[in-house]
Amino acid sequence: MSGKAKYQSAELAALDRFMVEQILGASEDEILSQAEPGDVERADEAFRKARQAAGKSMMARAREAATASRTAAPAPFDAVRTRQRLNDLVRSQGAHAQRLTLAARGAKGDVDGDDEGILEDLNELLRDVEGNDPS
Amino acid sequence: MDRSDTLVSKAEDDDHLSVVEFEAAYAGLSPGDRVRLRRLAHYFACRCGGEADDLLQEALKRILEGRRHCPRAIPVLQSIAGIISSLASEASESYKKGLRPVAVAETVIDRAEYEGPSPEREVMSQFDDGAMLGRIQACVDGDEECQMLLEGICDGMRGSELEELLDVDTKGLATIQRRLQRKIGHLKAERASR
Repeated sequence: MSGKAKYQSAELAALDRFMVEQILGASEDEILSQAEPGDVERADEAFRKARQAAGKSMMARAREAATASRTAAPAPFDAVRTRQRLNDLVRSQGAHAQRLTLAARGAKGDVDGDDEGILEDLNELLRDVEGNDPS
Repeated sequence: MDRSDTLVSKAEDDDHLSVVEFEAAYAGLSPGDRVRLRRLAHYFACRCGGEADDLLQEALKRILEGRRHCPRAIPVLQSIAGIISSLASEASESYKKGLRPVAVAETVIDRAEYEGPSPEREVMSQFDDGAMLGRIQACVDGDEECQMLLEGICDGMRGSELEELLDVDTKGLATIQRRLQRKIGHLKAERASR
């Protein structure tokens, strides 16, 4: 930016500071004397519309994230490796291992019935963990 | 985690108001504070060729989305003022980059062949900063005190320096400052000319 342009930008910046200071520093009576009809209502209307728009855009972001999650490629399923990790995990819990495996089955029945489901869920978890773990 | 999620998380720290806290802070604003917001939006809307209501709404929306934050350490009105100013600058930069149609300012033809380190930038600046300054100066035509005050402010003078420039005391300066603020505050956005 040339000297002239910089100078003009600086002039406007100084003027901006002055205007902000004047508007924020004015007394309540003084600022109300400058009010135009509908000022308060229009500010509140801007807030109401802003809240609606923010809600919509956040909803859209959440929807996009959910869609992206649903359409994400399934994790490659290595049954042998995942079972090994499950066994390691159970062993690492020592005395709690029995309760851990029971909790994983919703406190009922034998593990054989949902064996595959548990391994698939664990596979997803491991993918997430390993994805965040540079090691 | 995308950028907006990061920003939301950041806003939920101890240094910034959460969205819920901001909503409560807005609800607690006085009628005068709401007028202040419209006056600020009106002033900066003139700078970016938009509508005051749209500018205010966008600033509030960014806060409510968690994309902009209100530090606890400063008054919420000051935070909103900063965001409004920032959005106006962004819009103004868009004009300068040619992202929106711009009209030729009166002085630009003479300056179009200026030889400087960044002539295009300076020429584009004439569309915006130079033209805006011209409009503000026109607001105070015929009011010598306001003209001098405007020059002093643009030169970076403050307080006692301005009192000395205008040969007035603190109360006298405050009176002229209020007059200048009202005159500039009456500027209207000129969307069609930008």
